[in-house]
Amino acid sequence: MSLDLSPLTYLLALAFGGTLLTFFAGSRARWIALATAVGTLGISIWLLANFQLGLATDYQFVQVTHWLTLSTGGSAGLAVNYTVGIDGISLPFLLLSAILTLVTVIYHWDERKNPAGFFGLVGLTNAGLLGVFVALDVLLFFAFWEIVLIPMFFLIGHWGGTRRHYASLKFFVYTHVASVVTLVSLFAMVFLGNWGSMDFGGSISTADVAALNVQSIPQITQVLMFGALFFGFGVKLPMVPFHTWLPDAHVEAPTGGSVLLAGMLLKMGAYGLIRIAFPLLPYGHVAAEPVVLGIAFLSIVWGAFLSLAQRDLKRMVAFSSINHMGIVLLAIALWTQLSVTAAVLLMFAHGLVSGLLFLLSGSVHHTFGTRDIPSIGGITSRTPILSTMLIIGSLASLGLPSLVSFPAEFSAFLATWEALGWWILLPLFALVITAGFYLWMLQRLSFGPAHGIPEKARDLPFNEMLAMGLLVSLIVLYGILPYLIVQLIPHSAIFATQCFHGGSTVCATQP
Amino acid sequence: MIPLDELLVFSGLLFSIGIFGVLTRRNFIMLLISVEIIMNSAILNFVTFSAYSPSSSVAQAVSGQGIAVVLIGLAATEVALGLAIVLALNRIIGSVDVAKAMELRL
Amino acid sequence: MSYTIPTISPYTPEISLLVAVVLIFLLDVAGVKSRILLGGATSLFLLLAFLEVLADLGTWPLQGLSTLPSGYLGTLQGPVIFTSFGLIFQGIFLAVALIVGFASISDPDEEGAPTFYALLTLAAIGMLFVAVSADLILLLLSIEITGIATYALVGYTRRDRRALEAAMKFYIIGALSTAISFFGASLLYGAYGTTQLSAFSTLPANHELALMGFGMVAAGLAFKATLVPFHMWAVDVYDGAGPNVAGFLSGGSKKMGLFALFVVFVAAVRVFGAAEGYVLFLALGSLAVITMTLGNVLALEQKTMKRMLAYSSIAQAGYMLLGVAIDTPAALAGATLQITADVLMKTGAFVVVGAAASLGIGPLITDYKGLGHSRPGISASFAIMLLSLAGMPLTLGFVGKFYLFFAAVEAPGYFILLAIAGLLNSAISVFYYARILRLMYMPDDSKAPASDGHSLTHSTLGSATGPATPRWASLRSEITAVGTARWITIVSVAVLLVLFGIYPTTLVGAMNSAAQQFWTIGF
Repeated sequence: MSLDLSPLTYLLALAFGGTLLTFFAGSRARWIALATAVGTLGISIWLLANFQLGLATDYQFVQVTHWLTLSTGGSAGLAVNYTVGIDGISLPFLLLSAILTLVTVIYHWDERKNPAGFFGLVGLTNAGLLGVFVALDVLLFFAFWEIVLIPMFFLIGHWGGTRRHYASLKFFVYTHVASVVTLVSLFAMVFLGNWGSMDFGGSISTADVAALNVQSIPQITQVLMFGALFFGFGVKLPMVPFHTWLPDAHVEAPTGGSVLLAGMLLKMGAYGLIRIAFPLLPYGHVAAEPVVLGIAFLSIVWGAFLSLAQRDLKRMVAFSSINHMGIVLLAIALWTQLSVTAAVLLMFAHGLVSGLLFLLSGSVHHTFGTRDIPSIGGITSRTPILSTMLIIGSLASLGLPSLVSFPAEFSAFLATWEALGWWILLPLFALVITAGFYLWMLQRLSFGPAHGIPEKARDLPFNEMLAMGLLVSLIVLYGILPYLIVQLIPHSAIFATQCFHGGSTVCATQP
Repeated sequence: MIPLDELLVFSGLLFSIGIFGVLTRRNFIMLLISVEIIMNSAILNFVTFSAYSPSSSVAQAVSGQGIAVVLIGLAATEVALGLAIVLALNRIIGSVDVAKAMELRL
Repeated sequence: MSYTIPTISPYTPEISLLVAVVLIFLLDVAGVKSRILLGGATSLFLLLAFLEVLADLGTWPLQGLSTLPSGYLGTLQGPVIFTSFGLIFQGIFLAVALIVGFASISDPDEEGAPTFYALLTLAAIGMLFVAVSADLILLLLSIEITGIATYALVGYTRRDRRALEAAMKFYIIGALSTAISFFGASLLYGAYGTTQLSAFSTLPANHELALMGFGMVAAGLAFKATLVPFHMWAVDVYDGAGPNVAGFLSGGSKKMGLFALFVVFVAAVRVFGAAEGYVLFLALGSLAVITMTLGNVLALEQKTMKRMLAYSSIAQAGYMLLGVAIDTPAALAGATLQITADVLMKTGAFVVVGAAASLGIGPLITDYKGLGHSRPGISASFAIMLLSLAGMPLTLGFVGKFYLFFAAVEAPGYFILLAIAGLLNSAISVFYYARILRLMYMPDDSKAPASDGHSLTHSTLGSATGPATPRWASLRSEITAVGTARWITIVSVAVLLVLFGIYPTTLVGAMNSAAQQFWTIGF
């Protein structure tokens, strides 16, 4: 036990403390929320600047503080620690979470319906997300995982659209059931694997844990546990048979809620797969690979076709998220250094781009009074800035070079080609469909003869422009200079993907 | 001396009568009496086992009778409280019929 | 024969409470009906007793003030034994009484107020003896002392028809269960020749007689602990009794039954478990799963708040029964932790129901609609209690459930199934807790929701408006409306839930060592 606090602890303290203040701040809530968001972003950038590349240890800024000890039969007991630390995989998510929270606060600057509650819940979501991405202890991870659900439930249920009650409950039930399944499997992993503590990184290395698992857990049990974890994380992702909560939640959520939902909450599932399910249950994922790949392909194609069929702009973006997360799942399933790097990068890109698109669909809705694509058109003449943003967002989403999605999708397809050969045609085909529905949407909405635009429609107000501008500049920045974020990932991806094979020299030096 | 088996059968019968009464009676006073019969079967048991105790320790052998005395006191206390409750209830609903006191079903 | 004259110093908590009872009766004779005086005095004495128990446990900052002679823990033979496990339960029971006693200060003054406090304190005394009994007869007698006090407590006003009905039902069931328990005890006396709990840890010559005796004792205790199929009365009684009394029954009297079950199990039934193999544990485990499932499923369809809480209380009893069904020290520690959590959550929730009633809010769950906006303080506290009941992280309820399920997964054999059943159950329970949260914070307002949280016309930066009334003023009016004592109780219970949820280290450590000691040494 030490009292040296990691900067990550300060980050969490700031996020939770700021949230608490926001709830009680009344009319000044948005200023405190803004300060908190800027503060967390500042610390995240500081972490980025001080993050050392190529170290022999994977996790940095680690802090292990004893929390409680559970008594077990005979032995010294199982330690549950407050263990935090980050590596190149979690750092991009920290940045993304801080950025999207800031963007949400700016976009909703004029929120009128109980602003203290709204900004407080947004802050709480951010705090929980940061916790998920820094936690290196099973229980801590799960605790933060559950915390994220609560504010999102309220955000959808109170600030959402007309069917918000149904959507919020559906969201909560789906994800809560998934969490419960996850928890059982996590416990089983800790006990059957004879872990001495609940840490899965930090004080004991991933390699040790994986070795323990392989030795002490029968293969069939590993497969079952992997199945449970895959289901639990996959519902969040969402993968195709369990994706139905997503469109409802997205369509009914307020704009900022959608941004956080698509930008961050979906990433939690993939992060769980990368951080826990795949590296710690090596046999399980090898055995389950065909199923995982099948689901990934299904998500990709099914998501693309469903988007094509949508008339509602927001619904379309929501379904395209399923398609994109399918590519992420595909990249994770391949489980090579390149593919994991691609998966993390894809999620970072998708966070920025889908965030922008959800902001846009929100703006389209309250500017034109509808999100129905066919009923409005030719908006460029009346609202040029909105239209420009829409074009940039769509192009980014379909993977135009020099925008952030391109390097991500390119490396994902490269990894797919290396591993699976001609199967790559399937996701590529879906990519064509994606490009198709975005371009079709642009053709109907931005270009063509103007119709269906109400008299009082004006272009974006300053705060919305600022929020979108922030995202657009990041999309362009990371599109042109992808190494700024890419350089972090591969080193950690090696730790994640190769340690359990035991052959890598990198892992031998892990403390 | 009465054989142990017969005493046990007798207390078992008392117990069964009490349970039967609790299950079938709807009059509060009758319920009270049924519960007391069960209590008495327990008291009888204590005395019986005390009398037939194989234990060499006098304290252990006699303790059953002591418990019996305490239980008689306990039973009396219970009945006093039960009657107090039923009196108060009778003043309100004018009956000691348990079936009439059915407001608590929503 | 030689006698050792017992010292009275270990009994200071009980003596403090006896003094309190005498004082209350004297005040009653003097014609004092003021709740502030009576309740204040009761709460002070309860607090004193609570601190004495903490001192006996050696809790910071009271270590070294223990009234127990050194070496007393777990070694004294006789009708009374002071184990740290029992002392922890003494603390739990006193905490319930303290919460109820302090919160009820805010009830209106009335003729029956002195009776209420006297009965409450008497019930607490009985509970204290339950926690330190080493003899089955003393255990059952103490339970009945508490029982008699609580039967009267339910109907103490003697005017409210529903309360009297509840008292009658409670009385019949309570007296019946006690009688059955005593019958079982008499059989055990026949089988073992003594009623010392420590003697029960060997298999007797007459196996069947002893097994029957344990079955009957356990059935009687199961009534108190509201385990299915002996749960039917609980809902009606909690519904009919006043909210504070219901909180005391759910938080105190029921936990007393569970504690007694633990004691009987640890003292004796484990022996049979070893002899009969897994059958006994299978039966207990199934009973636990049935209890929690039935409680949760029936809670789903309840329309009134009290009945919903009553069914959820039954479900919680199922979780706690896992503590003995799993048969490891970890499970016992987990169950104790869950009991501690439930004492705070359930008693607190019933106090909230009382507060709501004093605000003129009806008994139906739908009557709580919009409470989150009109009464922010108690709603936030209630929300924390509900989240804790649902087992959300950062609350004590999560730690308790987590520890229990941990114990189930950790134990060898089929117990992982219990953990899965428990987790599925807690998923079910989320439905009805979330429904209340939704009603409180997301009422179906008649005005159409603003599209996307925005209005169609934009305002420029800086024109947003905050809530119309200042928050602190509305909080002050809330405190006046609910009653200061009640408000303080509710909020501090919620704060404690979160505090222990974030930092359970000390609590868990104490329960671990106590359960370990109790499990291995027993009596």
